[in-house]
Amino acid sequence: MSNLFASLLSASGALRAFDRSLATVQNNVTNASTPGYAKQRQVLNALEFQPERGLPGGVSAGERVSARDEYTERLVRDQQNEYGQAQQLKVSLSDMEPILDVTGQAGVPYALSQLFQSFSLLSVSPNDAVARQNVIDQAGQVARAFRTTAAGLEDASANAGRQIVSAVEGINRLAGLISDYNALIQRDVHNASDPSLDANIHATLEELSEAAGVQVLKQENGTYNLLLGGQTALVIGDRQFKIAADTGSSAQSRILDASGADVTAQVKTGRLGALLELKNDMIPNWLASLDTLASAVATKVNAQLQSGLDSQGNPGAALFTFQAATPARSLDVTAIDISQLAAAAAGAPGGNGNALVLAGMGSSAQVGPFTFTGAYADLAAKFGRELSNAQQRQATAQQLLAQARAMRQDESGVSLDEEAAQLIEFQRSYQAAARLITVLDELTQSVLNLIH
Amino acid sequence: MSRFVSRMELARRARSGVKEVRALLLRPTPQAVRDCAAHLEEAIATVRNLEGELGQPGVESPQALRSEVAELRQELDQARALLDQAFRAHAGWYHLLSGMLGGYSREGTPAPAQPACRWAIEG
Repeated sequence: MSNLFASLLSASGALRAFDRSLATVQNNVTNASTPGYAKQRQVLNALEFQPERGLPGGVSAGERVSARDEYTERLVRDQQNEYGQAQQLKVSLSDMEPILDVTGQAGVPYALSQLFQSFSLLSVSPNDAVARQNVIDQAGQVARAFRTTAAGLEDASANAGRQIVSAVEGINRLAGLISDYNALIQRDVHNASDPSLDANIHATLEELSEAAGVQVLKQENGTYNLLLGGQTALVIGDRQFKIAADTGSSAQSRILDASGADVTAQVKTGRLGALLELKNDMIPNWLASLDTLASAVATKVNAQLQSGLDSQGNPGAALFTFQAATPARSLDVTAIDISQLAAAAAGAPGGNGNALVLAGMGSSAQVGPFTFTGAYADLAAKFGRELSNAQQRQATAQQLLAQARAMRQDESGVSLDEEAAQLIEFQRSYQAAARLITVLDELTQSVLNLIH
Repeated sequence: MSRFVSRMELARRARSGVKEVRALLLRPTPQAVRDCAAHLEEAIATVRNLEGELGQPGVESPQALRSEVAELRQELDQARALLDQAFRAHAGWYHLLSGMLGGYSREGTPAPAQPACRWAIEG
């Protein structure tokens, strides 16, 4: 009789264990596409089986084990961080593409070529009022084109500033979630093994990595500490240290830690890193190049006009005016009268000598080795290269992120022996493939050089 | 064969081969990496073929051909990045597991895991 009871007990225990296994599998299936969820496995323990001593055997449900691997999680987070940076740069630079026109059919290069063409027409009819008015009108177009381009770059800078503020708010919100999750774990240690909380934590960490480079340190009690750029505390246990964006007090945007110290240098990666690079380095550099060009155009054209004679035989007047601190943004035409335009060279009143020199300025080196339009093309080409690099970098980062996610998904309790064997095999195949890629790289470069 | 295949088609074929490599490397098992070699060798042969054809006059625009080869190089860059990351990941894993099982050497590097002693009696 006792054997019958023992068997029934064993069978009911086994049913409970299998029921938990089934529930675990069901939970895995239900959460198959839940962000951050890691597969769980129910450990089953065999019970002692010694019928002669009344131990009926059977099975009991042990602990639930997560398939999460912190190494692959970190791999994914690192790639998410790189992807966030590349994606932000690609989007921001693509949005700015229309500002720096490279076709020559609009904007600064078109206006410049029209201005020097108007000087050429003036040289044909130096005393013609229409030709003189045309020069002043085209100068107005040049000034407007510079101001529009500078305003476009300034708008892009202001937009990047707003995005920096929003990215910082996002980082604080996500860090706040992690500190809340940490508080739950600190309150009850069993929460650390709750797959739902674990999924939320890892989905949040992944999102955070896209926004900025954050070092994640898992503590022994199951909580996570976060350091921005590996140095500035964002979350320690259940305490959050909020960062702030300072985009107004100086030309350079800054990131401040909870104590107000400048930690901008620690934010090099992620979306925030890209926005800071754009706002603090790239846009100011392009604006500076545009200012140099605007200043060169205005100064050189003015100097040439002032060295000639107007229609009354007096020294010519300046055509352009600008403020020294912001040449492109402030470039404008003076209140010059058509009679004050110096088409004649000094010593030859009524002639076209000066107009000829002015027309020639459009095709001679004026800004270093470049013509005026060449200098603009150089600026636009630099921008184009940045955009093209950003597009390529984003495409590669997307692939690397997909690969890291696939590796995370495939990973489950790899043993050292298994990994050692794989590594040796991998190393051989890797070396062969890497060599072939190098050969193909050299070959395609040589083919590119041969195509005329 | 190349006499019947345009230079543009050769460039496209090479690019599609490298695309296959890139797709394989998205799930970089040792088998997948081994399989890359065949695709890469084929792409090399195709590009060599294309290189040989460049001496002859072609019908396609040089710009279009340049752009196709440039895109092939971009695919190649991505494949290289994927291959490097996969290798680094496996090496890092091994390093980590060695450290976990064998502890650390005096220099602070992971020590190789010592296999357990085993007796064997042979007769």
